[in-house]
Amino acid sequence: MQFVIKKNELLTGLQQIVRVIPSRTTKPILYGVKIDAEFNRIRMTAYDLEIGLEILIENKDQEQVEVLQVEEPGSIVINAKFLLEIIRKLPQQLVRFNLKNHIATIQSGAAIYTLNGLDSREFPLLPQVDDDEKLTMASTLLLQSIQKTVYAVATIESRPTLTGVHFKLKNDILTLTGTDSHRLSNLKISVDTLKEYSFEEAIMPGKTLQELLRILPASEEMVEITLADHQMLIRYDNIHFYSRLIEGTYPDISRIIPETFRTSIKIGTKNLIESIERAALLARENDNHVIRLHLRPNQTEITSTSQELGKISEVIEPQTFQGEELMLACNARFMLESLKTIDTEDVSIQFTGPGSAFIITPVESDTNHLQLILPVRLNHA
Amino acid sequence: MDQQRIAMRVQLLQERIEQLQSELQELLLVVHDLATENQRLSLENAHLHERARKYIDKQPTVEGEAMHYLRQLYEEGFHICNVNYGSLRKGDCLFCLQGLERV
Repeated sequence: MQFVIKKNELLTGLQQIVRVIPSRTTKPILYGVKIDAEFNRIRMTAYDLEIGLEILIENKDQEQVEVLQVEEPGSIVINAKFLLEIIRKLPQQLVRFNLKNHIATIQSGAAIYTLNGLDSREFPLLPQVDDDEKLTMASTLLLQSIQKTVYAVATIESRPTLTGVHFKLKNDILTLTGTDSHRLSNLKISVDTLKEYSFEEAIMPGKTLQELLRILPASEEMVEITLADHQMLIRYDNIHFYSRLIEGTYPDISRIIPETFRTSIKIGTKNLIESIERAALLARENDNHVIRLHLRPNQTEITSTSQELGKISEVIEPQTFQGEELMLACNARFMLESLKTIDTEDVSIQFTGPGSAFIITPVESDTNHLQLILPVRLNHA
Repeated sequence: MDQQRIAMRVQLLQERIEQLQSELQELLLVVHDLATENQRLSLENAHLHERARKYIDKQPTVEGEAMHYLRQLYEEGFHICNVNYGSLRKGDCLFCLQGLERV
């Protein structure tokens, strides 16, 4: 194997590759990045058996300056974190790779590294994903959709299905659901699919999605999502992102969402967030970040009490108020995480009672986003 | 002659009136009896309705025995939802409450 590559191209690729490299594993080869030199491109692969990332570097346009020149194809596995550090510190813009008997020589200017590599045949193969049927959407839309749902997934592994976001595609409507059983976020977006592609259930691990948020750029360019048996592949430009799907049945959420409400308010999103943040400063003391909401006509009072520190009370005026007066307690962190996904000026909150879940939805928005939070039951209530 | 005939007819008429009168009395008695009977029955019917309603009201608590135990389990701090049945609960759970029909 022998090739010359521009340092910056290699560096950007490796920086993304390194994110997928496990910090601890029983298989040392997984610390490595597999580098395949093909006739006109370099393929870098990292795979921790859960998440796989493949980045292709090739000369994109004939007119542009060449970033890569492959002189002899071949393949090797090198420790990814070391390689990243080495490439970062290289003195010149061009890097020459040379491989003989699992020993890689990296040369840039006068610096020459000789690294012991591993046999690339021992590197696990990425899952095979048949991409006949796929879902295509703008990268930024996918990112936003993930952001609006992934915050609600469970972090405790005891219920594996709840640690992922549930994707469902039917009649060109993609539904994403995340819940940890105390709160829930449900988003519906319309997408264009070829051949009326649909699937009932795909649970994408929350960790995978968090990773995806870092790797995908927020651009209007398209990403392709393909599902196969317990695997998914997301393609964007020269990035191929593979992940295992969570097996199991996602709980039925259709009956959870309340339909009748006792009290509803419309309120400025920013005001409410800031006010809850202030109240949360004292709520931090308690276990559940409990703050109290007292909803009265034309007045929404947010209070929080800490035995040691003291108390805070703030009154803000809702845009509209309907129904009965109501008082309830809820987790400030849940409230804030939900409200921060709302990108409209006003937010609508509909309550059923102090012991029942309430619904948060954006006001005057095209997005069909519904969030559900269970209040905290007060002992004396 | 004529007078005699008229007297006869008056007497006959009187007899018929008396007969009708007694018939009417009889019928009035029957009507009265029926009315009393009707009143008694409708009262009884109302009572039965009430008892039936009470019985129906009681019914769910008899059926809800299992629900009662589930609720008790939930209050004691365990999950009763199929997602995580029997494990320790921290805070309320949407799925459990759905089961308890409280959401």
